[in-house]
Amino acid sequence: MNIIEIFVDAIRNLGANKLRSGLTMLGVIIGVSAVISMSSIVEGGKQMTVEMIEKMGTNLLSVRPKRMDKEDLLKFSGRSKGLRYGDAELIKASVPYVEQLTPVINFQTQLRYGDKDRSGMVEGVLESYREIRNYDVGRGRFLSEEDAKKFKKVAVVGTEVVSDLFGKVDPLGKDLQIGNQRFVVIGVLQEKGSLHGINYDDTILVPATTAMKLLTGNDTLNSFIVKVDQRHNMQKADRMIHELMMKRHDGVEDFAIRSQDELLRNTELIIFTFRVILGGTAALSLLVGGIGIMNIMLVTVTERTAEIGLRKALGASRRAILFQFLIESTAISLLGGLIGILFGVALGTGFGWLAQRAITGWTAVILPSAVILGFFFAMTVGMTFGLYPAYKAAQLDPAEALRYQ
Amino acid sequence: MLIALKEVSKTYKMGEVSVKALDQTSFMIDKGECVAIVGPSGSGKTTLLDIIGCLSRPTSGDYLLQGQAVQDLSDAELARTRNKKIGFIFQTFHLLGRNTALVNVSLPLFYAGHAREERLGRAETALSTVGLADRIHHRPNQLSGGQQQRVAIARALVNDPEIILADEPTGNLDSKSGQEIMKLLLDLNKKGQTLILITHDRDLAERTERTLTIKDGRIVDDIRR
Repeated sequence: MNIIEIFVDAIRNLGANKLRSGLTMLGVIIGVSAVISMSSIVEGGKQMTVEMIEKMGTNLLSVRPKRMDKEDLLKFSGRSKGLRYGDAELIKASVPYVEQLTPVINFQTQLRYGDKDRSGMVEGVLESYREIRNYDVGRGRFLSEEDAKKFKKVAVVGTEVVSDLFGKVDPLGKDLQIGNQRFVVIGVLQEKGSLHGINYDDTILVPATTAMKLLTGNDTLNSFIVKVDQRHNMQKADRMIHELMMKRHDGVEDFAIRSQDELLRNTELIIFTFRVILGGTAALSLLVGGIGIMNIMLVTVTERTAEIGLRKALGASRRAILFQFLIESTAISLLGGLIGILFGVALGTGFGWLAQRAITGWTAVILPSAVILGFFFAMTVGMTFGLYPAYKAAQLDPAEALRYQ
Repeated sequence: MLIALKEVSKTYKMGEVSVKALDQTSFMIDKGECVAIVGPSGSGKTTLLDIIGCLSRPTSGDYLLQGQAVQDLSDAELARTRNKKIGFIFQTFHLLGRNTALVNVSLPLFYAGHAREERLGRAETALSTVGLADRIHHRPNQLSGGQQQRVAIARALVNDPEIILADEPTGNLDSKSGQEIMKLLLDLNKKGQTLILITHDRDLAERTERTLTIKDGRIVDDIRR
């Protein structure tokens, strides 16, 4: 028996009922194209987010104060002074895995240049911040070690601050009033975009030392960020920092260590959730498509009972009949799958094209694995749901089937 | 002995009641015979056709086809027996409307497992035997009733069966094409082909050498001319 001949015959049978075959295929087409386009959208979003997270620096641990509940506050009252500049210095000196470290002091304050003013978030950091955060300096220079040592009143600003306050004026060397102090702008950061609600272009960086001395008046830190030398040392560094901090804070855990990895993991978890939901939806539509195939195949078997009877009279075995109808339902899902791939790739690419124009950093991705998966799932659906009608056809009694009107 | 039925009975269950369609029927048919089986509707003609044609098994009794006990065959073996030994001709032709005469005729060879070239070659020969050499690529709806029945005869002949089993072959035809079809079948018989004709038409039965009359599931008369 020749599969190709049966297949050609099956396609011809489908052609005899174009509208019906088309509608039956529609379920599979929608299912397969949904699998492909959805996965393409999710994957595009994932790649963009992961890329952005990595652009914000890799192998990072950040140490922040932890808000304590009332009970703990009473219990540990006076035992710890919270996160201080000294903590950062201790960690830098004692943890061997630390490649870079910067304290971070954030505060909201008034900014002014000429007659323009606005409020802005100022960050007191050290020169290592550039490498930790992967900042590129567009013009001028970044903060230096000397700036910190000499408590210089210099600032590096983001592009949004420049456009808001300086307009078309070249900001380099100009005086920027931060709070009630005058700082000299020494550099402009290259544009970086925003992630998780933080706009990295709306930023003003000043030496941490200057910030403590002139702007906040104390050595309290909002956080400090550690860049670990190797990815596999992240956990060791985390544990060591935790231990040292506990000792220094007199056993009070008033800090929390978070890692960039955690952010990546969270993102991946969100992506995974999306994938499950969307994949499930697509799979469900394929399932519905499969039920459609079964329905139509049952009708076809009934309609062609006399034909089945004749084929049996001419010597077709049960297996031959089973095979014939199974190939017919597989042909429906095969064609539907192929058309679905075309639609899915077109939809995914089309969406990617739109997204690239709307969202910077988005790349259109078509996952070959989704194409293959969608296609084989469709084939499986066709065969599985074709099995019962084909079995019914094969089981028909030849004498009865022959005389079926 | 080609066909031997020994006390063959066939009972159908219709809900609670069982209907005896064949009641201990016995007869024999030799190779090369031309036999008509006649009887009114409901007499068991069709059931007898199903049994002889290996479409169903007897409920009791023996059916020997070339010495082989048909009642002991599996479904797959029955299918193979139908394919190799029986050529069916039906009142309603039973051609596949989507396929050409050639493909219709080659169908038994497909189930016999022959290669495509051989199938089409043999189908073409069979079609010229019935005088349709110039119609091989026509579809059934492009052919007259008589021509369609010729295609069906070609299909019955194509795999060289032991028996041609014709069920009211002229029932759907006008008298002229009916005569032609009948002549064609009798000519085949003259060349040695065993022919069994099932009909309720007494005139048709007159033209065969032997007539078996069935009534209420029993053979009541066996005339040889």
